[in-house]
Amino acid sequence: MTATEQHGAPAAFGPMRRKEDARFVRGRGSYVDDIVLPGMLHGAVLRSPHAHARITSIDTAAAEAHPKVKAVITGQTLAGLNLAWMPTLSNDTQAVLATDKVRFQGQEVAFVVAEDRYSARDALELIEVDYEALPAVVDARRALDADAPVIRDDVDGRTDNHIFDWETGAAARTEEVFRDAEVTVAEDILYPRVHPAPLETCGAVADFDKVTGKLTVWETTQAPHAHRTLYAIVAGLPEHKIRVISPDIGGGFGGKVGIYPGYVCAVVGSIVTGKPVKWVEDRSENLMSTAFARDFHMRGEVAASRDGRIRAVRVSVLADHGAFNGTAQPTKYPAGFFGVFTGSYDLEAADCKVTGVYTNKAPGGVAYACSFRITEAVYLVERMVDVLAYRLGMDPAELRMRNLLRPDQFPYSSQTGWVYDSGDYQRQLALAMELAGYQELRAEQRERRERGELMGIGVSFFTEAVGAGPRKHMDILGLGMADGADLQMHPTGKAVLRISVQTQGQGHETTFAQIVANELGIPADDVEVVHGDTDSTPFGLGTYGSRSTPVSGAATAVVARKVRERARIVASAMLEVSPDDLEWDGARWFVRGDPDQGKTIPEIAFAAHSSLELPDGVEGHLDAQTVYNPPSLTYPSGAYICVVEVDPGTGGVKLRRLVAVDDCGVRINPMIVEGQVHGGLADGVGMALMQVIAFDSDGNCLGGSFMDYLLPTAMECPSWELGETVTPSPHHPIGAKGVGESATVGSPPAVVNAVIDALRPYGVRHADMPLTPAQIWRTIQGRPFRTDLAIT
Amino acid sequence: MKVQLAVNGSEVSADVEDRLLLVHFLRDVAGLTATNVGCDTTSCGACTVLLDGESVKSCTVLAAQAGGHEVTTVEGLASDGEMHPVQRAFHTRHALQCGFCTPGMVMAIVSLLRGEPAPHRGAGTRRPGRQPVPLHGLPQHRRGRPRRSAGAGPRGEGPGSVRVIPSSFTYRRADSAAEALDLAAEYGEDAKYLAGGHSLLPLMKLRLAAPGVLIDLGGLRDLSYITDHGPHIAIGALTRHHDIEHSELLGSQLPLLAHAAGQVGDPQVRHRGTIGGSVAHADPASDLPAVLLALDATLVASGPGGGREIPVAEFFRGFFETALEPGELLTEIRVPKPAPGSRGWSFQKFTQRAIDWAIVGVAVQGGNVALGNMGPVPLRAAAVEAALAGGAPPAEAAMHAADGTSPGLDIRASSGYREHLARVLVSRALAQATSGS
Repeated sequence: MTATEQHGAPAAFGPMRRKEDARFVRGRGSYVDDIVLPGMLHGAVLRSPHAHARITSIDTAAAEAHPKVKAVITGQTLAGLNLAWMPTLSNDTQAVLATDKVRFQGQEVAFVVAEDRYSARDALELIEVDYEALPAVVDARRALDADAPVIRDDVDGRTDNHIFDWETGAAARTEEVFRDAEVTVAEDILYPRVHPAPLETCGAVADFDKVTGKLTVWETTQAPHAHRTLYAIVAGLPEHKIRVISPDIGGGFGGKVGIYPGYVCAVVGSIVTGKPVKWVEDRSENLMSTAFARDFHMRGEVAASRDGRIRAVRVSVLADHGAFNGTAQPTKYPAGFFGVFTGSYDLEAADCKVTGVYTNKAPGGVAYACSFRITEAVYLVERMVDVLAYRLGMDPAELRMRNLLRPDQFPYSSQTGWVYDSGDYQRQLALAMELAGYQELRAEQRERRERGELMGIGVSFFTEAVGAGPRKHMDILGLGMADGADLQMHPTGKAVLRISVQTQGQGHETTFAQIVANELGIPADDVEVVHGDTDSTPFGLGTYGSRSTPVSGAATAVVARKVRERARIVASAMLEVSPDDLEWDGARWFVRGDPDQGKTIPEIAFAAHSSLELPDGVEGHLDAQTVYNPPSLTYPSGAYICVVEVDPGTGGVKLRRLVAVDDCGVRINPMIVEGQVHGGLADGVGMALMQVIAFDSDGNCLGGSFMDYLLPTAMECPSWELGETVTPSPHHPIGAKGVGESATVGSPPAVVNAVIDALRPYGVRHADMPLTPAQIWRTIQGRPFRTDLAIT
Repeated sequence: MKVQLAVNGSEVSADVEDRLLLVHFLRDVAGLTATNVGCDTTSCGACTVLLDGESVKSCTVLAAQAGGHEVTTVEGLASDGEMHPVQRAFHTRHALQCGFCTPGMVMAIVSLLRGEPAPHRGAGTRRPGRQPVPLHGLPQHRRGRPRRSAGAGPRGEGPGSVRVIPSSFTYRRADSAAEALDLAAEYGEDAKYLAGGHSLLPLMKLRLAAPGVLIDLGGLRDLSYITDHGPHIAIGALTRHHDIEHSELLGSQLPLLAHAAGQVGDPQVRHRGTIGGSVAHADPASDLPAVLLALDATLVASGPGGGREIPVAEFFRGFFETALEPGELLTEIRVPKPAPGSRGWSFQKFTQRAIDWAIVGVAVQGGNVALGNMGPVPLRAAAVEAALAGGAPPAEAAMHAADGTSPGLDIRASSGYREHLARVLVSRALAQATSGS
């Protein structure tokens, strides 16, 4: 069901069926594991069974003697090539293959290259590694204890597990507000470690051609251009001799942004053996070693007036970054965009401190559908608003409505320095309440509570900051976050658009064609979108953080407008009038005052390639290029309402309804937007109710397979109820804001708020995710679990 | 070994390792790369193909098991590029995003619609065609969980031991029960019987089990039957969950069993898994062992020394241990029809997701109460039964549900929570059984 408000979208925008489906529904996609090259060998990674241990010896002789093994690579091998360590996305270092110690369970220790995938895995069992086990730092809250083992003793002079302290807002001003506030509330809130878990695991096929010196790597990557540059920097290979191809990608969710040791090993394997080498991890490897997300231990405080005016928010965070600081975020933002913890509210003051620590867990901290820690920020503030509502005895929707930013306050500068572009929050929340039948639900809840039944209604309202970002402020490892677009017009009016971002299911091949179609008045089917190959696309930083439409989509509109302007000159020559006398009607340049005299883009394109005499200085053809440097971020928002029932006997949760009213600005393809929202809602349900990567006291990962790390299925998801409002972004060429992560950001607090609301008869004000039946049962008894540790 | 099968209507034959999984045969030998591996542990269903027209997870079937059979992949679904109606529905209703698990989802739904024109559960098709499948490529199917978490283990047994490819073994297919016994005698303790393989193969892929020889019983069609013998019903050990679920005879005479079989795993698992395999595997969290306990079934086994009958109450000896002697083959399950007055039944399976293993399971038939996952073996709730027999009201009797149990602890539940669940579920089961009788 969709409630649609007016949105004045242009003609080419609309629910066009996806072009990429033609191959996908027939099984004709081409993913990394589908790549087969002549003579290709197969790699497999030996991983550490320990969370923390010193390697005393590695014996590879038996593995090397296996008849089908071609090479065994260890940290020693790599050290000889100066490749044993590599930089992370946060400018820390990470071991490619361990040389001194292993620092998390599942860390890469050795790499076998063999004739087939079965033999490669068999040979792993023939490698003898002697470990001297060390005590592990499992609980992030103990990482800075004086007696905590030092994990990163590879760094000279390091005597503790502290990574960074970061602060934003105004501490003194915030303290003042708290001191004279009528009401304050505080709560400890954990956003536990979760994993992006795309259905396609990570993998690579590396092919180094010794004759030409060219390295071609097919990779599961969301950022092929950034990878090429990093390979050049890390391995010292000339950048023009590296080609990174990101073919069809089976989901990314931020987990395929960074470079993993397996990719580097495949490259080294190909250089060593002279053959192409394929490496594809299995599911356990994916869950245990590739980048996690979240793991924020937060304390939130809110100051308010007795009548429900939210005055200030203060947060302190302990961030568990694992064994290597590999968090993906712009350089100046060690806690990502967590600064938007002030939420969608007009505050007098705000303050936040974040401390990052090392633990013996996998590295990461990726933008898992969160645009750099926005998920954590939104969860914190939306949970805290409910804690305040509990304290004040107010309805949580009413409390939000009273404090939301008003339309006349945009552009709005937050207390932490973020400039929100546009929004109409009250209207958005009101629409969600109307769709949900909010007052009727509250009436039903009152009745059912009297009967002893546990029904809960949860509300969340979020604002995201996406589309990183202005290059003046944002870079990753020194690479500014701008994106290029090239548009080539063939003589017959068909177009080829080359973009730097990489689809992992978002439907770029359709959406971006619609953007071009809209600007040029040609059918979207006449626009081919090329992406994912560094040899045939312009430079850009890739797809994550909901940045494709805000950045690359803008680049696409801009480059199409350049083509349109070139077409205007050619049209003026064709019509023998001045360009100034031409007007664009959405499909043609026509002569002002004489609408019968006009030329379409295909007509103009042919003329541009013909012998038509062009004005001096006009080169002919219509092709254009651009690089788009976003002036600011875009700020999508959402109002979500969730209805649950909790079984007081078992603690089981039945998710009854989830209403999501998103405002992502102008919608290019509403069908795809809704698909993105559906997926994000399911993701959020998983995080709220069932997913966590927890560890036992020895540092064993307890979420290493899909038998233990649960993804919700259709059976656990209600039929989503969507609505929309449209407040175009004033600074984006087509007014779009990005939507890929909205529902993942907004749904966890809605679901958790609903469950906690259901448990109100027990006096429950907070419990940490995931709200599994066991956790709810314990919460009802007043002793919830630490969900990041093993159940006891 | 040489494996020959018909893939999308063409014969494909190759010399392959005995341990080659069907999914790798399709991808690496037949060059059909549409079918993808998503989870390696029979959890997600991305690798679903049709085997003789029914959905199976090709990561949990050996190529050798499929030998001589027909396999259909999504590449064989569209004719002349024309989409199958299910493919068209996926396209028009935007039911796919990255496309990686789409082939598996399409094949699962094609199978489901063939078998059940109006499916009511499973395979992500609660509302076929109406609900786009979310981005995550949601694993719509389930399971095959070994007792231990795949990732976690005591020190030194962690991911270093996870391979997702079985160790090498010799595959032998038995064409008759007698031949199976002969093969078992020939190979001794190194051999294991393979029925549907949905319990054993996942363990072998994680290298938690590494038998040297697998004796495939898949060809023993004569051990797949459901026969009415008057006071009892005889079920061949190789009768699949799917056949039990859909048996009219069982539906009318032993509805508890038919219903519970329909709760096992997902459609793909029920197309492969057998009642005998489930019972002989003796996973205390399995559904059917507890059900057979509640039904007072008798198990019939054949061995080198002839046949014997084993009351189910004496069958489960310990964690994954049964009364079967080495080489002995379970051939039949005999289930007495409940007496008049004992016809009320209930099956309560508490899971986090619809497709998960029971955190605790309860089967009730008349006054018989059995528990799953409340200890190393499925149990009769003796204290509850005694209280009922002594005239206690069901709700009161249920308070004894955890007496004498020793439930374990894992990432889903503590022992105390399982004890609590047993009391709640037994109470609900007794209420339902009483109201239905």
